[in-house]
Amino acid sequence: MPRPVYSSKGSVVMEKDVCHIQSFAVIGLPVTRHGVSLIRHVVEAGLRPKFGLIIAQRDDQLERSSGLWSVPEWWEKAAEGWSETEPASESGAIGEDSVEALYRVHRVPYVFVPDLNGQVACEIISRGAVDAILLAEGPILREPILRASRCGVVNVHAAPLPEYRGNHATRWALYHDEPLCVSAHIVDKGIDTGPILARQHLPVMRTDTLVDVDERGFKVCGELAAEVFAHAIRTGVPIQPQRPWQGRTFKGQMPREFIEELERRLRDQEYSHYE
Amino acid sequence: MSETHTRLQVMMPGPGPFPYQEHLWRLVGAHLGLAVRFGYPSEPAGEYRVFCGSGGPSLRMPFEGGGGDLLADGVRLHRVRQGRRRWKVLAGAKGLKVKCQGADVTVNTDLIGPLGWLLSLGEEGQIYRRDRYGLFQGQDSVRRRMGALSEPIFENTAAWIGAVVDAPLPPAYAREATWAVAVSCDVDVLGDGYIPAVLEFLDEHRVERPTFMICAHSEEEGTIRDPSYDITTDSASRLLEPLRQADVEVGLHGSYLAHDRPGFLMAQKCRLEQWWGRSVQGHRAHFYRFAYPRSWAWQHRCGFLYDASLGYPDLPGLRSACASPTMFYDHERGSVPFTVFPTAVLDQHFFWPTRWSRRKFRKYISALFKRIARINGALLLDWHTYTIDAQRYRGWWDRLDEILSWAREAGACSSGIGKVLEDYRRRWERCTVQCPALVLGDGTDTLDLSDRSANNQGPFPIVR
Repeated sequence: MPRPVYSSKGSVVMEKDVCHIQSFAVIGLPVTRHGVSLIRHVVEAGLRPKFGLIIAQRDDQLERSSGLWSVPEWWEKAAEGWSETEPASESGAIGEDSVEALYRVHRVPYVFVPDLNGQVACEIISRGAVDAILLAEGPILREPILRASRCGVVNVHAAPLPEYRGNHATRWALYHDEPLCVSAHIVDKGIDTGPILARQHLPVMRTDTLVDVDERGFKVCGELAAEVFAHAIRTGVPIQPQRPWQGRTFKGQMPREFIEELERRLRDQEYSHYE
Repeated sequence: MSETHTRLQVMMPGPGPFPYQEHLWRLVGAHLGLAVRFGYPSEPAGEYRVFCGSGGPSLRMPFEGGGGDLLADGVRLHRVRQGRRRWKVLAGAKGLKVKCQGADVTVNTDLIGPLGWLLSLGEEGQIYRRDRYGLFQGQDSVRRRMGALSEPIFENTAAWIGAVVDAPLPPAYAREATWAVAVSCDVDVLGDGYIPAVLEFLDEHRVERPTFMICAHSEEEGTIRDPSYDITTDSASRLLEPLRQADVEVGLHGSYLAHDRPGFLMAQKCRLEQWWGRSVQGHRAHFYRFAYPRSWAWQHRCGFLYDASLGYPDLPGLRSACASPTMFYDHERGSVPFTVFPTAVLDQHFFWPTRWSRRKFRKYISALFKRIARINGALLLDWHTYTIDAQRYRGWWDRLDEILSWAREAGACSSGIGKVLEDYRRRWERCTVQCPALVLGDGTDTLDLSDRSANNQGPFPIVR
């Protein structure tokens, strides 16, 4: 079993070069298209998370969950008595991007927490003794949660790593006229700088708009997440460390003029790597 | 020149370490033909103190970091003078003030940091347009707005420092030429008669060992943007055969994606070496595709010794404000034996997207020659072999004909890239290998500057 070892600068150095797991949990935002795609693909591939942690948006969610925080092995009984048709929360806000709704459909135990970097989330993860955590979109993670499981947190980034790190990296890679792919990696203290587990090609079709590429990105990210966790459970996944100089980190929003140029280039079929 | 005047003495701004700043000073030293000896005060001094040999005029300059925090909109071009000579250098927005006390000079701002910023393409890191097709256009550069796209700021700064500390620029190139023109040709399209005609042209201009950049990608490695010939086929081999018979240098014209894929680079290098029967040392990316710093890091790791990809597709100019080869600083390995030689002039600059008039062309080249000759630099040209087809590309090689003729009249030597780099590497090795950092006795020794007390607060203890 590999164990992430953190260097003084927060980068992850694995003791062994293979990530091999038996159990995992999922953490992330409550409403996220990217996260829902990851969880759905993983669950539909027959890989069941031990539990999920969702960042609460409202006080009533915390009130409902806080009773479970200190209960040992709450996940064993949490899904009992659920009805798939009942609203997931009091507001009844179930949409196709709702992580809570997805958990209920697939009967994955979940609990709301105030945030992912806090003590509550770390203690639940530690008590759960999972080998790895799947990040279903969330804030920048800090050390307590990064160290809370044996193999660390796995993120699926919708762009080629190590080359394109940070925000809107799919679009920057497209702007750079590069073949697209999505990348699964272990999260470290940097932005998308942790060891890479796998990459999967993201095809672009001649008729695609930017929205089409984004949508396909969600789907391929989900497929890669399922693939990586399946392999990590069955045989282990080799780990490929990144070096800081191997990529560029894109920060902030992509300027509107760039997005418009990208849309025009796709409309005019100027991309060099169509399927 | 006495033995002591073959050394540039640089007192660093503190105990260090300052690996990147040392690299930059070595580049300055190599341009001045001087070995650099570093000294380190035991306490932070906050400034560089520079002189040549064991005495003479000195330069004091504040240390303001590696230039990483400079903003593209915050840098300014400043004029400095020494005697009757003037140079344009780059500094931060606060302005540049030069104070002379006798022969000694003090400046109020760091000029080495901005050199690092230029050589590491700091400007482009802040301008996302670099990512448009992996290209960076000259029209997007802040130096274009300053009218300094073709200003060799690195060499200007080195030459000014040399002038201050009484270290004149040495003749830098073969046959005692003070400056050089390097000729390279990209082989993007193969056609009957192109290569022999190009060889004949270059022979008439007495270009020594010109460089030809040849593609060697497989079908799988190629894209719709790549040249379509396959070097492993008989037809391509037959058309390229005259190059094997001639005294030329062959480099790899890396495919559209190879600048960011070490696997592609390595495979293409091997393929080209198999065809060429000799080692391939040079590289230029197709389309000038480039990603800092990883393209150079991969090329170095794949066994290349130089890269000539740094150029603008739209305008002639010096993309790193540098008109000579410089050694690459690898962020993982420090100074490595890999040279970056930016391409200043490309054939299409004068024809596409707009055709330059002959008057405009002549005026530009004349000014460029003056700039490069006065700092003993080297001008790298890039012409495509297929544009020798005068029926389809009327006038394209006439421009090269004029450049080479004028350069010869102006005292430049003309050769391929490899020959220019041989001269540069000799200088670099002479300047660096023979000059270890000062390590004296038990660490309490001092660097004797007492004969120059007007310049110093006191002797510096040497800490390593």
